[in-house]
Amino acid sequence: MKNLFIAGFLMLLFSAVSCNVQTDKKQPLAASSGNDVEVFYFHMTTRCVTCKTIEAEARKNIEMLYPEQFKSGKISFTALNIEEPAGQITGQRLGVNSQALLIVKGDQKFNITNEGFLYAVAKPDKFRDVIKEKVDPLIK
Amino acid sequence: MEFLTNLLDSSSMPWLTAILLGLMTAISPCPLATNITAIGFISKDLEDRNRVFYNGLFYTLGRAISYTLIPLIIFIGADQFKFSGFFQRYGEKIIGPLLLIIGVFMLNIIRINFPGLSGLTSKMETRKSWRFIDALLLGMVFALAFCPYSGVLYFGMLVPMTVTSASGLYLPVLFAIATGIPVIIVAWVLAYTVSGIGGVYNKIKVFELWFRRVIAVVFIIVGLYYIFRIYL
Repeated sequence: MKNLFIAGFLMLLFSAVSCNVQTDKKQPLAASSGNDVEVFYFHMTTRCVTCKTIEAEARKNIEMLYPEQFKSGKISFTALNIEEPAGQITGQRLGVNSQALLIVKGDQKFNITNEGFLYAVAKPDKFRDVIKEKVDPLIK
Repeated sequence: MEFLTNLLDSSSMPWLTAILLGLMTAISPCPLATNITAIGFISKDLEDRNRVFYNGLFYTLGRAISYTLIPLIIFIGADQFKFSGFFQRYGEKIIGPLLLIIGVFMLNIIRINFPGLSGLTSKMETRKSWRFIDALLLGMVFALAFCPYSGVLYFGMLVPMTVTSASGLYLPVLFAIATGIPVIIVAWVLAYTVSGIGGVYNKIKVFELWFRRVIAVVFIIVGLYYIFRIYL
């Protein structure tokens, strides 16, 4: 029994360290479009209730707060699975390899993942305010 | 959860933030499942009340070791993003099959005898101190089973607070104690309340074999829960 626990622990720890060493490549941040605001939500294949709520709330808020800009393509919302090739490529470009909620414009990048996990379920109004606070200066 | 979020918002003290993050982690689905499994594991020694309680403490100490080791490795120089990405991706993928294997071994469905090692193994299992190490190792392994929500609380909030200076390394210990609080409380109740009821001790002795089987089934069910969540 003890050996099983030790094996499990070491397997996780050493794999993490070796994974860390193998993939140490810097990727440029430059987004595809410099003047548009892009909101990216990266998720895993396995998704919790909070993870799904963050995507739904963020998408809804972007569409509601900026309806004209959303229609014209000045602001976009994209949800990507970080475990699939498309998500991995975009994730590498933006320096992300786990779940994340990012607001990007050119070289500017705001990571509001923590706020998403704290507020999307418990305080959706506060989550909306955080999005508004970050996007408003970028969209003007 | 909303209450804890409100407290977290108003907290300006790192030690309080660490405890609140730990409590939020403790009641999130994945750590809750591993904690329930841990309670099953540590309650198998119910005939020795002190050992049950100490097992609960050693389990929490195991969690503290893992939770402190990760920021320490990051503090030394590992890349935080890649490290956290790995655990959030693979932590819960490994824990499901591992629980299933442990459960099957506990049920004695499969017996593997390594030549020359069986005597040594049985000696180890009869030694009392190894049981504490079992609980400690269980805590260390279970702490690494990060789910999306607990992963963000730990890697997104606690680790950045911790790695800013070496003096922050006490924070994961507080976080770990908070995540282990449900196990410590249940261990205490089992040790000093349930096992103290007249006649329970004898009944436990009689049903010990069944008790172990039930615990093995708990491991298998929780293992299957993870496997179904992730692979199916």
